[in-house]
Amino acid sequence: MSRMSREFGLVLLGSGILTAEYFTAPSPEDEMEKKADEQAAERTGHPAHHRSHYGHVPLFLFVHSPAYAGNKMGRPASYSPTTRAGGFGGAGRAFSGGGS
Amino acid sequence: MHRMAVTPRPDWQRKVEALGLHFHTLDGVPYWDESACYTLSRYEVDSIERATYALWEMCLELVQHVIDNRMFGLFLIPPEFEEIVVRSWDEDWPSIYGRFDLAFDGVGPPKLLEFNADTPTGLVEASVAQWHWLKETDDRGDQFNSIHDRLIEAWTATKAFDPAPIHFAAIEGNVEDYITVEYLRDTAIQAGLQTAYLDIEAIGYDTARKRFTDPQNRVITTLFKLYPWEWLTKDTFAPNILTAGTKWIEPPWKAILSCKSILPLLYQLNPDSPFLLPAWFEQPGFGSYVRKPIHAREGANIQVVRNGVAEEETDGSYDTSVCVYQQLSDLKAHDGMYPIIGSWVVHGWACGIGIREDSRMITQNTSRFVPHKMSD
Repeated sequence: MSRMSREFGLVLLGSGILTAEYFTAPSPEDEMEKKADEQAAERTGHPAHHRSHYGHVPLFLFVHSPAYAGNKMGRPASYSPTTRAGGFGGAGRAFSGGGS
Repeated sequence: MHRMAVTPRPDWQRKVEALGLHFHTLDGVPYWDESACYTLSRYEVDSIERATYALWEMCLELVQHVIDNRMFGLFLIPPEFEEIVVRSWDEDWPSIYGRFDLAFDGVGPPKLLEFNADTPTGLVEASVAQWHWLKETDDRGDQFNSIHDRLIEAWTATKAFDPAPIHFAAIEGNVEDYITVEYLRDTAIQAGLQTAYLDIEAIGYDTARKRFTDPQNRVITTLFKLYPWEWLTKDTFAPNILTAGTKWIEPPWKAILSCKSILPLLYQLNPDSPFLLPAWFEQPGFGSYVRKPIHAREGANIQVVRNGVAEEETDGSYDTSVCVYQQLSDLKAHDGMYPIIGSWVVHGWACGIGIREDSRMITQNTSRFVPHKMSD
């Protein structure tokens, strides 16, 4: 039988950045990104350069994976002129979510 | 298996929120409920583990059977998607996880109620929140739970299969789905993968490159989506799935296993299995059974028929024109609550459980998650 054998950490959910306020505040992006910047600066000693819609993403990426920047959905998208979006999600719109 | 009343931790809401479980209360009623817990003996956990491995093996054999016999119509898989289902199976595209929902009375063998093979949730609760609950309330206690470790292992194997960055996507605005995806992304990061999140609505299709891209114009080579295959194949971009070259997690062959048509087919293929309830494609003329739409979720549009009379039915927006029928399993009530065991299989490992309970026999998305521990 397999059981949990050790303590473990969370790099995103346990970061303290993803808070309930994110889901309840009318416009959470600014506050979340500010908090992400502050925490990134605390950990690294200098300001974070990347921010995103979800705030916590760049903190992690800044600390762990600077080569692959997070999705900056709070900023203007930079799709190529030959790209269109919005082709997924339509079938699920009538339902509360995709999980089961 | 016993249900025990226990005292919730002071400030439990803040504690579970710190782990990402912001949806602990729904309409003012706790969804995460630590005013009780279930205790299971080692024998009972062994029974669940054994059933989970057996069911997983039967499911893999079923996929091969469906492919060999071109039975895709039973699962409402569009004909144009059959090739990618087969290819994802033959090329062994990575699969991360699934959750068997089991009826279990602690005495007889666990019985499969359904398999959430494509987009299971309840993951943060089972993997993280109940473990922290256990360590705070009973530091020496044990739990059937190595989900987190196995997830990292699954992503490590995925990285070996293809080390490309992985995009993670969920429907915009759904907290539970978003947290589930972020937790999975968390474990992928810990396996050394490069990742990014985007809403599924933000996925773009570049007609010049014929590839899916993210809002930063990066090609999506591998995508984890908490969005079921039966929806993907109906969306505007569905035809592009076949040519865009994206690897999908969960893979297209999970479109077979996530459909409730597996229930009668599993029973046909394994009539003597102690872990299966009799199930049929045709409505029985008598007896006690449960009608399940083949693509409904979260306990919606379920009808319970007892002795030929409809006894209970849940609301929902799902198509009920195609259903399967499964023999009614009389769940054992504990303090008036009916528990369902959600048994997780991650990277082929039976690695933990989460228990949801309801005062009704039908478990729905409002049913409470109650933590568990082992009694010896």
